[in-house]
Amino acid sequence: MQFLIDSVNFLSDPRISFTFVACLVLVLFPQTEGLYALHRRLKLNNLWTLHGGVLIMLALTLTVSLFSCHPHFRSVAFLPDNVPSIVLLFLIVFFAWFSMYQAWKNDALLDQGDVPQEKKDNEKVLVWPDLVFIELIAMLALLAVIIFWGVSLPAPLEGVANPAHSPNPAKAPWYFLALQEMLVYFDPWFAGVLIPTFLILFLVSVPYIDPDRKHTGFYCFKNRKFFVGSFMCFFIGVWVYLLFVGNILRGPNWNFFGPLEFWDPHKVVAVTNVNLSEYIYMVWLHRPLPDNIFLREIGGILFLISYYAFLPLVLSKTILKDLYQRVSTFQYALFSVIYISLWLLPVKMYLRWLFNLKYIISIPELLLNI
Amino acid sequence: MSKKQQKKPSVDMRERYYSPPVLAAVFAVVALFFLFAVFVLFMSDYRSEWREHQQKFKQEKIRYYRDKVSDSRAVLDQDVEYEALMVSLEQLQLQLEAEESELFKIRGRLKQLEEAYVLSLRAYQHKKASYDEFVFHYEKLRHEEFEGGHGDTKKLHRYQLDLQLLKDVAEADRLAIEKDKERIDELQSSVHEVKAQIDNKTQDYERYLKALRQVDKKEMSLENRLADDIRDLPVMEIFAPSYKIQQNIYPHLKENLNFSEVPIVSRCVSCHVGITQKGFEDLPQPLATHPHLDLFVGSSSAHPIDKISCVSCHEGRSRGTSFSSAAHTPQNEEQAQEWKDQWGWEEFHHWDKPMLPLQLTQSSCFKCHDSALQLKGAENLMTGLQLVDSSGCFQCHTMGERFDSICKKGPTLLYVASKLSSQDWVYRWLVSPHNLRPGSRMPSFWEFTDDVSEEDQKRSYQEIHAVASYLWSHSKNYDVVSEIPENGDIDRGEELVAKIGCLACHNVDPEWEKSEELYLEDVYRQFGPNLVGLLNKTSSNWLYMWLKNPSDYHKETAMPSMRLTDQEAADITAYLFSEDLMPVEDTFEIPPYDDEVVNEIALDFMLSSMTRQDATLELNSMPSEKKLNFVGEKLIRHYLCMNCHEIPGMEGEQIKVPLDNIADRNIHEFDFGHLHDLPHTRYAWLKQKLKDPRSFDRGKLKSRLEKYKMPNFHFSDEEAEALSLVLLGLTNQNYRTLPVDLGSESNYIKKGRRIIRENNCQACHVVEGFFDDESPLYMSVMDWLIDYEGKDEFSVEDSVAVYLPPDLLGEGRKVKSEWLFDYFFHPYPIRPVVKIRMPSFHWHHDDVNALLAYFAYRDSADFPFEAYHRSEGVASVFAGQTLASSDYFSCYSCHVQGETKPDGDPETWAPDLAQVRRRLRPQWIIDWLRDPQKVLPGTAMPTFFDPEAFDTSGPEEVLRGDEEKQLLSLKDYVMSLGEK
Repeated sequence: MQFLIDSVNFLSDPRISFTFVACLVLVLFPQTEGLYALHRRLKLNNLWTLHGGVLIMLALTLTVSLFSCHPHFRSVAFLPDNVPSIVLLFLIVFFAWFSMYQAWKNDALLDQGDVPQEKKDNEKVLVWPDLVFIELIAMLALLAVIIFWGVSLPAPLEGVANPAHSPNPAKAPWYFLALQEMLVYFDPWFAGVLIPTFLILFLVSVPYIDPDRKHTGFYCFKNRKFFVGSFMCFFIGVWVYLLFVGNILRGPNWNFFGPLEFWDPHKVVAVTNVNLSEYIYMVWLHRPLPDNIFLREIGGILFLISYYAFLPLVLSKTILKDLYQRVSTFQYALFSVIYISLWLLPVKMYLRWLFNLKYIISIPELLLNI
Repeated sequence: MSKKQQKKPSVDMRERYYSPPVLAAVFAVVALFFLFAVFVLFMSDYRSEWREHQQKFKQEKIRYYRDKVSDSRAVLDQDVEYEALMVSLEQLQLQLEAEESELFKIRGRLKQLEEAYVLSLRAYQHKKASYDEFVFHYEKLRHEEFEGGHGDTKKLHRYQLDLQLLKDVAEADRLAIEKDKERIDELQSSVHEVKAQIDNKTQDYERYLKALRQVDKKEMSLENRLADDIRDLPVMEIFAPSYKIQQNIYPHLKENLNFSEVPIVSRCVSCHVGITQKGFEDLPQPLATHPHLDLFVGSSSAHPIDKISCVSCHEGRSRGTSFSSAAHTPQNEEQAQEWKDQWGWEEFHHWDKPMLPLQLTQSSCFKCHDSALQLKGAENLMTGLQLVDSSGCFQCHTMGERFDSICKKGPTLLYVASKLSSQDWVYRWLVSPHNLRPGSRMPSFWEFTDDVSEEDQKRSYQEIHAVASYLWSHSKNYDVVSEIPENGDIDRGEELVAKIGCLACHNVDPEWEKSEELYLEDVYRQFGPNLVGLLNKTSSNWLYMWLKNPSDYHKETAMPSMRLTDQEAADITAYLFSEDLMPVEDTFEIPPYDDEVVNEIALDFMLSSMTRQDATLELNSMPSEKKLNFVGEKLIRHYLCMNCHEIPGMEGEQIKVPLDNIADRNIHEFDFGHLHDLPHTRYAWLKQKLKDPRSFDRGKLKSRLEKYKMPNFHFSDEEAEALSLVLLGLTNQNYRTLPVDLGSESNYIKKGRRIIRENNCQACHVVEGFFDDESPLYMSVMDWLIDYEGKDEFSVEDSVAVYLPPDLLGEGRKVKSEWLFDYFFHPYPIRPVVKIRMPSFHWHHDDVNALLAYFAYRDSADFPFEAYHRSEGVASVFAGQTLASSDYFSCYSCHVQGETKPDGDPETWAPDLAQVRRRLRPQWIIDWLRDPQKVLPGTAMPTFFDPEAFDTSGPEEVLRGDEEKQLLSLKDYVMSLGEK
């Protein structure tokens, strides 16, 4: 039993669990033809049926219930603060399945030369009384559920604010915890401002960058693998994953704890983070850091320049080949810069985990730390 | 309308997502679900613990008042007088009925008169209004007259006449009414009288009935009953509920919320409904009355609930309205379990100051009563405070004003080589003071228990070498007499120790052990050392000199001179040097000096300011003795020995660790180390720290110098608990905005109390407190009486009081300040029977003045000068003399008067009356003669004037039997004695 618990805790280490989640998302929502073929070969498309849906939800319920048998998981996951993140888990999985279910139905229709489900009824909506009535019903039901929730789990209030004693761990509201988690890897202005901005820009730019009129306005996957897949990749693989980590797996002193591990406030983790410049000069070249800022950070600067200069080119020949051919150069450039900026987040996460890398470029003199 | 009918539906009626009946059904179900949610919402808001408690209390109240009503009714029913009154009332009413016709007539007339009066009064008022208006015009015209105008004087007169007329009529009507009323009253007067008597009898009953009617539905009118049902219904309770959250607001008491201070709001009474109401003592919590209503909470008590909040004493979260959110704290594990089962209690984490468990509530007394010597109900706290005094906690800690700058507790170490027998003794002492002297207040700085590693022990042995070496080699010379002039006798010495009062501050018991329970007397007795094991500690010559004059050796010592003669001092020396007073032999073998370990210790200190290379070089060049002294000095400073002792080379040094607000510190600031089983409360931490100060280091990898250095005082559980009470009272919370009223002379009182504590006066005298308090010396005096005076074990208890030092309650009113000043410097026996000696303290006159002021201000006596004594005249003095003679009170059968001694055993003589003039305040003599037992319960002085029948108690033939004058004359006579 203890072995099982220890392995669960070991496997939830972000290095392992993030890799696993990322791979899972890539296979479940294949972005490229190759992954798509793999997806079909593994018969994962069977998941996007009613039976598959039931199976997924059952598996999820079973996992959460099994975990709940352990007191440490219960004590964390069922805190009134954390209930939303558990509910979120179920909702995300359900809606991800639901969208794929609809998409695969439409894909099948399109394959048969038919029109998608949504196009069939000519986009007519019966407003009165149908829509209004069911909206009213939904509103009442939602209100009632919120009332029950509010009564059974009262708002968790803590002690008197004391500047000499901050709560440990100090956590933001659950919906901000992915942002807070990003602070582990980036400076606040980067994690709190730039990355969310890029994320929003990415989402906003999708319809303008992709002029595909044929496959919009309804659920579909086959013809929009890259866009749907990379949305799922960033939303579920990164954002939701980080939310979950921030809510459930971060304990006192913002240390990482397995879901079945006791939150020991005295836990000590050896983390000595090192800048790239220190690696280059002090570790590899065995010499002190140069005084000149730019000389000092030359490694990181070169890395970033090549990242932004060459990666779009490489992508245009590989996974973005299709897009590159379809859209204008400007549209491609815009999209690819935002897209690879987003990739900086997982890249930085891995660099931190594997090499204790603190900053790629660190110029505190200019408040520029990347 | 018609247009609407004509308008065709735009949607094909057949085209629907859902069928309307199904939708309607779903809507109905959801609407019901929503209604249910709203219902749950209201009910969850309505269901609260305090409402249930208030409902329960109302039932109890009804039961209580019903009992009271029926009890008082029963009392009335059995009251013969009441019955007679009722009978006579009936008769009177019968008589009144006989005069009914006259009454009827008068009543009829009265009604008419009253109507007439109303009319005439109205006529008058109307006329008055128009008269006023006229006067205004008239005056205006009169004013203008000077400039040519004039007023209608005739009309004015007419008005005035009319007005007077109307007024007379109204007045006549009023008088007629009064007259009739008087007549009625006259007829009914005897009825009124009886009714008043009956009211007097029934007032209890009526009061209870009135109270019952307010709560008991059965006694209410229909509309009240209806209102009572409706007002507390859910939702309706927003208007005027009878069950509601009750709160007291204390604008003068502030709660510190870190960013601001807000008034304390106490909602405790919402559940503790009966806390201020007498008569509910036996109810279960939370409904019961406060168990000490006379002292707390009650409106006439010293701590009324409208001035002092519940949290001022109990702590906790007074805004909480449920059992858990008020941060209740159980007394122990069993109670915690009981609370969990009964109330669903769980620990409230988010409050820095949870309620004190009941046994610790006393600690709160200290927040305000910070200079107190005695407090009713806070006995454990007082014991704790006395323990702090005798253990000297304040030498190394700051602990608030009470303990500031009290002089050093430990003996001086300036002359150890002249006092002690050998350096080895110092070594043995430091290894284990408690083996050499059971009950020693010297704590153990080095521990040799199984918890300590062998390596650590090895190091400790060398550390002790270093400290002993430093002390010995730096000792200054003190000249000790070469020979004791008299030969001492052990038995006489033992008797002296038992007789003159040494046992007030000292134990003399080689097998001394801590008693199971903690008694204040025992703590007083541990003020000085247990006088055992002196034989191989010091020389008899030194002891002899010390006994004769302690302050010669140690200027600051608390040991007073007992004015021993040479013979007495020699006797006591012989006794204390007897073999019997040696504790179990110390077989400990002193480990040899170990250069390697000493080097290691020296390095630890040196590396803080030099490199390892330099330090090693320097160490190698040092001879071992110098090395030891170097390490010894460092260690003495490290362990802060100089905080308690005068140490050569470190005079005046003192480093203190602050504890001033330890009770306010956040629980997260306490290091619990690896003691995971210890409850995370301040109390548990403090107690653990006191019992085993270094236990929080256990299992930690720390260098020796980083480790906790608080020494082990070997406190028992009870002692640790009493001490933690004191520590839990060390807070900065602003309860002190309500200081205890010590009068405007509070500084004098504080200073006096401090001197009393510094000199352990309370070990012999009851200084503050209560008349029934027993002197702490009671037991040792009783033992002395049995062992040496041949008293019988059974009868001795009655007479012990006579042999005890006097109570000092009321001392300020009793003695003259001038006499007391002299007495402190030159004490002499006042009652020959008391063998305990008042010591000669080595006091500065400032201290003595402070004590005089303390006594005077405490007892509200005149200070520094008191009124001259005024005699009532020669006749009064003679009358007093007559009363004092053997014909009447026969004062001289007991009292000494100058050279004239009474018959009988000198032991039983009472104080010299010739001294009274100099010693006592005249008013006190009167109070004393009036009722000696009231002033000093248990005194041997007979009561001449029976307080029960004062007016007939004095002899009739002296001063015409006027007792007040007799008292004055006795006072005048006594004050005239010894007059030159």
